[in-house]
Amino acid sequence: MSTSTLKKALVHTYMTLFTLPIAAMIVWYFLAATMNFTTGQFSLDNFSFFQEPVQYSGVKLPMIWPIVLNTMMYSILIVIIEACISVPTAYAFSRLDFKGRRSAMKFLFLMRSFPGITLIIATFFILVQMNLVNTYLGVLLVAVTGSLPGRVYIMKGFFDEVPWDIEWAAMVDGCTRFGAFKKVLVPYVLPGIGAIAVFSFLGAYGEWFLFKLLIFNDDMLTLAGYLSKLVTKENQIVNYGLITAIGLFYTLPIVVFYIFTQKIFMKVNLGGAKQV
Amino acid sequence: MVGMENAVPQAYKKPFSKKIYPYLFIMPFALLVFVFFILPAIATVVMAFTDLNASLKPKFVGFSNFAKIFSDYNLPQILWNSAIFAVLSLAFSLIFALIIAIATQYFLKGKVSAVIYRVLWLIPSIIPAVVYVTFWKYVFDPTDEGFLNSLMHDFGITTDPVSWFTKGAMGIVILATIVSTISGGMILLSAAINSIPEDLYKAARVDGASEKSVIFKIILPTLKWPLMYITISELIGFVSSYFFIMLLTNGGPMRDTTTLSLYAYQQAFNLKYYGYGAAVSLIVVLISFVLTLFFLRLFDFDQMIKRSRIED
Amino acid sequence: MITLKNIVKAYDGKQAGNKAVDGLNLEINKGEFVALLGPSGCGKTTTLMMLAGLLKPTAGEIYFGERLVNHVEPKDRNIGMVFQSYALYPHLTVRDNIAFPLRERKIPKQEAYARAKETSKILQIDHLLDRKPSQLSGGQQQRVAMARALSKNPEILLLDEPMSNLDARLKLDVRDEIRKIQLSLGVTTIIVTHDQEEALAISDRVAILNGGKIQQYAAPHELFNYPINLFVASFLGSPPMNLVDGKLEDKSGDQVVVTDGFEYKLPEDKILDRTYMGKTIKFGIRPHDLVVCDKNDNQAIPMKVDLVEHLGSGKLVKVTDTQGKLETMIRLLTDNEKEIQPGDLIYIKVKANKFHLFDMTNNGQSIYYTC
Repeated sequence: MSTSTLKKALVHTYMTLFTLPIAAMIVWYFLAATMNFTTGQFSLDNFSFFQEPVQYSGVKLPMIWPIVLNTMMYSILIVIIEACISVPTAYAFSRLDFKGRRSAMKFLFLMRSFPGITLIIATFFILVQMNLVNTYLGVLLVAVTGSLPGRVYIMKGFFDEVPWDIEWAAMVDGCTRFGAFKKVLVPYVLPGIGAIAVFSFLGAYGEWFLFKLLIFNDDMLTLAGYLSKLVTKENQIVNYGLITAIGLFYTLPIVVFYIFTQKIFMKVNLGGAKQV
Repeated sequence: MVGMENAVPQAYKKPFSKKIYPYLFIMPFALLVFVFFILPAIATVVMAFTDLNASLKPKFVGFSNFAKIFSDYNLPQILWNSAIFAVLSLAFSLIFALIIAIATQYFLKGKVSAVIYRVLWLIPSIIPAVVYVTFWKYVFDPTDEGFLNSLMHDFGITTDPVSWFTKGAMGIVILATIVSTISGGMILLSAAINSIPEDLYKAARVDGASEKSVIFKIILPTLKWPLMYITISELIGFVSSYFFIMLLTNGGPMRDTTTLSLYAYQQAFNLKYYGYGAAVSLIVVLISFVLTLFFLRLFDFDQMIKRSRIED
Repeated sequence: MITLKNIVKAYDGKQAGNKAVDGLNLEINKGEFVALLGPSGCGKTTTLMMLAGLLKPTAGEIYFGERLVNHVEPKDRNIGMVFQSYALYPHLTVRDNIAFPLRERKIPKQEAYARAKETSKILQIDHLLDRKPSQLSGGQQQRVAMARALSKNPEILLLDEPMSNLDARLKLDVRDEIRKIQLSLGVTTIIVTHDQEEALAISDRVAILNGGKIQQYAAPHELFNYPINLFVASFLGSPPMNLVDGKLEDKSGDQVVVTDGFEYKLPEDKILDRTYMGKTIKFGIRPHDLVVCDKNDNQAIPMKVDLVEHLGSGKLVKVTDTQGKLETMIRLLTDNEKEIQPGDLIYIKVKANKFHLFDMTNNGQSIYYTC
């Protein structure tokens, strides 16, 4: 055996060892969801949540389909709101001169790396004051504010890469500055808008904490919040079959979505990484 | 050119509409940030000096919340937990991110196996947290049904199920945390390694350099900056977040896995000591703030802010 | 007619006080083709951007005809512009790209498309109308950019290095074509370029810029034959003009240029004012104004051959004086027939007294030329 094949075998051995837990995890999700561990047989009993409300050890949760609907609605709303706010903001930061731009950029950056979660207690009281607790609007606003700095930052990277020639051409061709933004720049950064839409969707789909904290009606939950109710129960007996079944139902679409959209991530120019 | 001299040009003054144009674009963002970031930040500071609790009749109490924190008998353990959690999570996730990045981008560069390893490692970070933690709950389940327990039972190592969460809760929390954070650092490091020109390796090989010196003399020096970036940003994350801990152990058993930020959350939302909770989180805020400032120093702002090349 | 009066453009911010354009005056007649030529950073592009209205002058006045346009928006200036990168809108087809300026003028779609088609025929790209810019070659993209600039019948056409991304051969064709179209449409055109050959070939007049100021503004042959100062003389011409440091001296009634390597007597029929004697000058001769001659010819200078380069059409010979005292080598062009080897001793002379003198005590102002 030559040294280089030996080396490769060594690398593969280590990598396989490292990756084993993850592979095991994936296998387990499927097994746990579709196998009756006591009898060791294949069964789809765990998927009965498709037909009836979930109910076990005293926990009663509503039917899953309205929850799915909530999830879709919430995620799509988040995508739209985050795109509609981050695109103009990123445009201004990238291509317009205004007083305070430098400090605003610094602030944005500070926010991006600053953990907003540490302010959650005060945020909660502000929502109470605004009568927004137990409403979607409250969750939306807090979630959007938390993720916007990151979105704006990514979007700014895309706007930075639009050649000035293109905007000049548009202005000479009869556009106002806003016309150039609308008709030329926005179409140009469409891949970027796609990228932040994917990020927003993934973020919104996985949001459970704000639902746990701010939403008290079980029928208003989204899938992630619904699952968190099952996972963080007080008693220690966890119904793995049920959780993994719902988990699979919840995760599979997102993995498929990810596989189809992951190419878009490669286009993201994270200023930080590029400064290397 | 008769008549030209009459039209003396005025110094250009931007009309009002053009002056406010940029601000219109950042207005919605600025409003949201003001209400849901700046106000909470101020409110956190104010609340930290009150005894706001479930009765919702706050009184100004000066520094007594802070005095209480520093006399809290739980504090030493909580601080210790926070430090252990942050430092160990950071160290392990950095080392593994580095190993995997070098393995996939240097030793297995361009191989299908590299892509498979990378995609597999990405999965824990895209699986929603709630689903992700169930796996670890299952592996370390204290009953016979748990993966490790049944395994040990089958191999006859022990007969009684081991109560993993009582014995090594912090270890489990750290393990779950690093497995899901490794991929983030790995991607940045992979991108950096990828940017090393192939010629450099070739030259090193011609010079008869060993793999070890390629890694230490060529690869690691290029990773200096991304490593700093990952170190600080992940440290900020580990110090302030408590989601995995909350989902896995909720700080238990006893206070074995309670970190400072989780403690703040529990004081506020489980025990309704909002003022005290705010004071504790203010300390977390301060730590995060200092780390964030370090982070900011890494960036070249002049490079990020470019003048508009259209004057309107 | 376009008039620029005392235009100043200063940037604030980091390079505060730096003037990209510093007191520029320029008049361009209707229908004229003018080139702004200069090294990078000379302010030519900044000037063009101010003409387009994308930058605002810090001081001075810009007139289109009688109309002061300093603060007029780009869209209200009726200009067409072609950029170095062509700046085509990647999300629009060629047809929509060409029709874009028309649609911005609220011309109905049908009519805009009809006019786009017309313009595209002139540029011979009417078969590409349904393609996207990414599916076109560089030359085709350039034509689309021209078509887009011309579709709205602009009063002024601005070209910003429009040919620098084309390969050398295509450049020549495109150059001729741009000139042909410009002449047929009679549109006032301003081109910015760093390629002197292009500028001289295509334009009616060329403005040579350096340091934000116009050095000389004249017809191409005039610039070449009568450079007004050292900058223009050294900037134009390839291979560049030979410039030798020297001094003017009065030697028993003869006015003589004295250099480290040789002396040269000014012709008696054209002499300088006495006040120039003793001044430090540069002695400038274009390589094709030097010829290899006989030892006994009038004012023959002995030189040692250092290097011979074959240019195809002839030879470029680099020589130094026999003592090796000259700091710069002197270049001259000969035909292929002449047998010259490095190391040879040859005699050269200035053809028909064609040379220039630049006064180094007065910013290299030209004080003498014979052509």
